[in-house]
Amino acid sequence: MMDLAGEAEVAMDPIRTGVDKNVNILSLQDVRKSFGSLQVLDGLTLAVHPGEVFGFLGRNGAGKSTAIRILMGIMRSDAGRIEVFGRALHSDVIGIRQRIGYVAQDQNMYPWMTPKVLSRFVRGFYPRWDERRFQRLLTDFDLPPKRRIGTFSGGMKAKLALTLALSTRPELLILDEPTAGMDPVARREFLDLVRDQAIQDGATTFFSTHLIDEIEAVADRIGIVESGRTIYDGELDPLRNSIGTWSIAMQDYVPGSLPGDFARQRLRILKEGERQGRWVISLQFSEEVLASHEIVLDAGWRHESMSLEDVFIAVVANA
Amino acid sequence: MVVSSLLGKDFREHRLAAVLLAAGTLAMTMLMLAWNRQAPYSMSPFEIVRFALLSFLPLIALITGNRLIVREYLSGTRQFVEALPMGRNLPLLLKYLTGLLYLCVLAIMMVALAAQQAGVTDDLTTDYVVLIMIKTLVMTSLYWSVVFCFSLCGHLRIALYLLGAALVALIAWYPGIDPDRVAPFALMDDQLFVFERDLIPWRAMQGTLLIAGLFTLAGFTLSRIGEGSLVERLAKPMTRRDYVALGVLAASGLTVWSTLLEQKTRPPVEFSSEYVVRLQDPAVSVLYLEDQYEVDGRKLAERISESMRSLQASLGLVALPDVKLVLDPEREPHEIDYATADGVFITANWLPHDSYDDAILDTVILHGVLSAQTAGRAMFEPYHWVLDGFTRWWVEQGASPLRDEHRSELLARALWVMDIDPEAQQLIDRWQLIADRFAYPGAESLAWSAMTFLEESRGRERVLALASEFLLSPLPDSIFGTIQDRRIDATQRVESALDMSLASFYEQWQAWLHEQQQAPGVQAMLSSIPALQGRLASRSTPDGVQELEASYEWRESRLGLLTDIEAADGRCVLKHDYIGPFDTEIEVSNDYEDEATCRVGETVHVLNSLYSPGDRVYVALDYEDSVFHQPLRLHAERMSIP
Repeated sequence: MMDLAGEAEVAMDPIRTGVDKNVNILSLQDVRKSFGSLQVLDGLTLAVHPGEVFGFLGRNGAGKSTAIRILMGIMRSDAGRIEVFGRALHSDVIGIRQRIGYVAQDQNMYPWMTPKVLSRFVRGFYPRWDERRFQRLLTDFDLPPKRRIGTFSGGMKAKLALTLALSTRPELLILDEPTAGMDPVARREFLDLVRDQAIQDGATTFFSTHLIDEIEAVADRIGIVESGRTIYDGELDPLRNSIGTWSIAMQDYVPGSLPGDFARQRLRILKEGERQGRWVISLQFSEEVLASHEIVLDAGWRHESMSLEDVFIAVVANA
Repeated sequence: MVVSSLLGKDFREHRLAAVLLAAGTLAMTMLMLAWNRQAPYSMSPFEIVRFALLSFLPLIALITGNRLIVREYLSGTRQFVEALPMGRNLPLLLKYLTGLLYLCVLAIMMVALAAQQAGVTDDLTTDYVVLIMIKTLVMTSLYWSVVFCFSLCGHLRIALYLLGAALVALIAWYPGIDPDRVAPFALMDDQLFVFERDLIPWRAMQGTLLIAGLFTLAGFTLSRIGEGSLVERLAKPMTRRDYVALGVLAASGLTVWSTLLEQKTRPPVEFSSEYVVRLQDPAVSVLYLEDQYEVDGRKLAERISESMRSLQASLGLVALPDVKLVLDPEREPHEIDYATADGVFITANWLPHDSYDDAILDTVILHGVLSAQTAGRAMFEPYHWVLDGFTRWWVEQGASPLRDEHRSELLARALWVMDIDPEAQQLIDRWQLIADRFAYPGAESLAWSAMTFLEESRGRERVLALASEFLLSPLPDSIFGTIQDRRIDATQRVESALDMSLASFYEQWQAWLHEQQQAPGVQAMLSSIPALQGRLASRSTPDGVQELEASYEWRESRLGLLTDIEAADGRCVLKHDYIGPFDTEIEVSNDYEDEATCRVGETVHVLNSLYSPGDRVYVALDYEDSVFHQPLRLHAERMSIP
């Protein structure tokens, strides 16, 4: 875990930087984007609140990177409304980008540069560039300032990208699958850094990934995107709690039956089928159901434990 | 701040390459300028600028584009840059401007170096240099725009360059298009680019800038298609499939090209008239036009055929080019047109004159035969004296005995040349200068005298050995052949063929030549030449009339030349004509001459308002009399009218 305590005096204050805590830092409404006949985003809607770590979850090809490129103003959407820091994105793309720290999926930094030279190049673009912080993060992240970036490992490059992003004193940190290609140790180390930064700075973090454990490690809220549409936008626990899996021995299973007195309630069957001699069924309940009903199982049924990954797969498969 | 960051990044990334490239370019330019300055016939130094624009500046643009643009896209670093807070088009715009500026600076430095090397004859003025510079910059902007656009095409760019080159070649080659009227070809016209001083080629420059603008626009449009996704998709290294496609494209291009070339081949020129004498082996055709000339035509054909057959046997030539002669009875005896298309094609008045005139014609024909035989190699400057001297030698005494009267005239002329310019003995190094100063008859007599000395001192076989060394082999058809060919320089080859050092040869030949002065026939010829030298002056009168004046004065001579102007029976003739940069061995037309009685110490010829300031003119002062068959060039000068 990195010690950023010493930088408390320069941590971001959302009020000081003009961010209204009641206004979403990021808001996408019905955003659409297609490349030719391929519809990549199909009404994507989500909101990111100030100071939170938002996990942007989706399978490969679900449209996460396209959404981020649109958020960064690198590409334009075909339709929909995008607001960043409470302002329409294209009213001042450059000004907005100056307030965003961005870590891309692929670290396409100049291989001939050293971190020192890179900072000299990048700082010209960010009025709030903090050279002291850059130097400190280099030291903290064990990044040699005078070594060519071309000789860095994938993990080192990602750390350097995070260093650059944090040195701009961002109000919003956007991470686009930053751990892709990293080994488990480097990935864990990187996630720790992100979490620490989120705690220390209080800056809003938009973390895009397809790895559930990463989200579990850092996110306050998540948005799940599938086929360019938002299929969940909220906190993690309600999602986890809204889905359950039960099983019953095949010989006891009455076709069409449910584990308990659920039939009257509003629910959705996410998945059912035979597995290892038992009939397994996954159900998703609405929030009202969860709030007002206690689950009472019928005879023979038993509750099966479910990881977040199982939840994600079940949700995505039924999107 | 953003701009300086981007520029600073490019500067740090490319500074070494940029400096090396600039140093290489300037070193190359200076080397060529120095070479040009040392050459006996130097071109305008701005020709070097034109050469650079046609040859290595496009390559430099290519390298610049590759480093500035292609690298950024292929390595994916563009994605890093595009996520930075700045305008979408700014990085590419800055790259465009940086590349353009860099190339323009190089181009300006090349022009400045050329201007610094310019001599009096180039008549350097500010307007002239600015005009050259503007034309250079316009062409440079075109190159950069093309490279800029193609650099954004990723793995397709090589194919596009090949297609572009093929298109340029097609336009230059296609008979239906006059490249001189099409930009940018018109701008790079081999005469106008350097020598046009007054007229600004607006249309050519506008056309070139329009094309440059279209390529630039295409580049920026390409970069915006699909918000850069198209360029991103193209920006990948060439795959094996791409290489195969490129190979197929190149092969198809070559096939089309060779097909076009085949279509271009036309049947060789043949006389279709019935008034033609045709002899075979070697093939000689004489077009005599009218029945009355048939006998003379047949005699000529037989004479030439016999001379060629004998030459073929003596030198061991496998084959000889066809010779075609056309009669033009209206011409002066020595007015001979000469071409080497489909063999040797000569137009002359070959009706009988005297044997000396016949020898001149025969020499010109053999000159053409050996030039064609060597694919023009025999005309290469260090060997040219061998070609001129040997052909005359062969005509005079190679196949038949030398006539005394010919010998006297040739020797007298050679002595007269040496009397005026003792440096003329440097046959290898100064041949074009000799020809320019003393005209073809003077240079040829000198070379003939060298061959005759060789024959008389070392035997006929030595002359043939020298000719075999230089006049038999065609140009090598491969790079290795060329390297092998140039491994030994001309001096070493001459020394090897003569089996003596060149210095000894020059010394002995000169001593022999001076001995010939005592021959009565030679003395008689020499005593008919007035010891005159010419002088030219160009001036502008108060009325603004440009005048060119010529006068004559006596000069010192050791040859016993005529010193009484009243006794001279010849006429003094001023001949003049415009010259181009590559005109050598100029034979000024009789249409531009002023004939007068020779007088000493006063202006004899005056030309009023014929030439304008900036014109380059060749002016010759000849002495023509009845003793010598061809004029004696008293003075010759290449002038640039101030």
